[in-house]
Amino acid sequence: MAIFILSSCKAPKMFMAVPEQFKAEAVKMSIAGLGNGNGKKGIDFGNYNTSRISRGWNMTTSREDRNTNISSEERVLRAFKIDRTSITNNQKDKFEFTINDGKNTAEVFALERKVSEETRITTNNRWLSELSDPKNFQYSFSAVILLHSISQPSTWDLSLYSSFENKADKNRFDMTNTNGINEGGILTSEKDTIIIKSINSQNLVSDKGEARNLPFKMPSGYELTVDDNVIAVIDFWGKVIWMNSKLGEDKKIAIAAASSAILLRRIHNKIALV
Amino acid sequence: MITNAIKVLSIFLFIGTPLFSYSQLNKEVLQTDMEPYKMGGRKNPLSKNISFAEYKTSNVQRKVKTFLTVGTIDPLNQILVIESVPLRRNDKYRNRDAFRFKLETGDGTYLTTECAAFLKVDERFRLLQKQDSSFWGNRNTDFLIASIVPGSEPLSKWSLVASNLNASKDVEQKGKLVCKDDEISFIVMNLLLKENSSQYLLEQKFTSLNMVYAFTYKNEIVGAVSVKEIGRSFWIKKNADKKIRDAIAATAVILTIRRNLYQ
Repeated sequence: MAIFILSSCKAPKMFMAVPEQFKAEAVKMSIAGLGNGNGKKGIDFGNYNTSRISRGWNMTTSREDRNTNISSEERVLRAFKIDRTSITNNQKDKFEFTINDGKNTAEVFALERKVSEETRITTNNRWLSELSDPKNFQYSFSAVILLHSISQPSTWDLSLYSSFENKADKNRFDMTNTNGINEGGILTSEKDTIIIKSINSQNLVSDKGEARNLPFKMPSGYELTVDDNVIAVIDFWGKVIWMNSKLGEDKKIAIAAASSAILLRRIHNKIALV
Repeated sequence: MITNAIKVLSIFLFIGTPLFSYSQLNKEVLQTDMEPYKMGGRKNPLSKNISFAEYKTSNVQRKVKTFLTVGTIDPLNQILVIESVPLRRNDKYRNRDAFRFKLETGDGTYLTTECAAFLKVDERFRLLQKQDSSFWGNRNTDFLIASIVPGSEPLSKWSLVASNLNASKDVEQKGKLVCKDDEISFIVMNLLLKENSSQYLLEQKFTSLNMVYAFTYKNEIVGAVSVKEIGRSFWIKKNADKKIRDAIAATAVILTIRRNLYQ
């Protein structure tokens, strides 16, 4: 009986709300095989499927470093004469895969890197042990997409970056963790430039089409734009890629390759996961 | 043990109150086409010399006064304390760093560099009052001066002045190099730069975001050096004039081997 009740109370699947105008011209592609995005298994969406993901070592190195800025917290710690050290962590990850749509193939080579600085505070208490407070980070994701297209082979470069700086006016109860974060991205070839923007959304839609609002904005995905017109959306909530159906085949597979690479990253660029 | 934990918790509660103002360092993101070079050396505290691109340091010498801190003892700092929580603190001290080195360049010439950094701290903390500007380091004096003399042209000496390199104030960390009519300025910022100079064409295309001292000459970013020790690198424009390239390399060494005077 209990099993029956639990299975009947399954939470509805949520999606990011997408503007109706874009929706009318776009194709919705659900991603299969993504899991948490950390695995080696390939993913499928629409008529695109990737090879098995060839991953390198996800390496992290740490060392004590000089202060690059003094946060408000540190100024008070100084006055209280509490032991603290500035630690820098350097995390790197590499992976590669191929993606094809049945006619065209693209090879993707990606490098992810995050350098984060934190203040480590020694409390000498077994319950609190060590506390750490993030001070800043520089995150970057760089990928090269080699497109073996029937019409014309081309190379696309993908760059995503974000940086954070600890500020006194940050709201410690803001769950978006986007205070002080600067984010941006670009996907370029010789001819085209696509701007990538992160989306922090409060509006979600259930799989039955019901609108649901979160109490606060949360990182929900990315939108890809050309001249301020949205051409694709990557939805982290519903694990869905929306793509304008009127795009050329070359651009479509380049966007599919870039979207797959973004979804297959293992290092995160948010404060909560520093 | 417990009092220390109480102190830490009270600090975080204290931070939550809207007493403070804080100005963020000016951070920018730019895409540049500078060539990257790994900086070797400094992997252990005993290794003084560093090498990068076609440059190598030698004869790194520090003066004894570098290791001395001179300060005023305020007896009330020790008296006005309840359960290790200070009711007020006055901190006044001076720290110095003075060093010299030779920088050998790829063509056999060298530059002689002398540097002196000075930090005077004058900070006040009041537990039960609104903090004044001295709490934010506004009364601190934090500067660095240096001279870079090319061995082949001793009259073409570069003078370097920089401020707030120890981040003792909430203002930009920046500096300027001057030689006759030439002027190079630098500032701490985030830059999207080439990851490494690998022999593989694909790896040369990778970029990463780095916190660097970015050098600007004639309104163009021509060089950069990492602020952080981890994965320290140097970037320089390939076609940069040798005189500018050498001056930036010598300044990069100064910024790398200087001591952090603000503890």
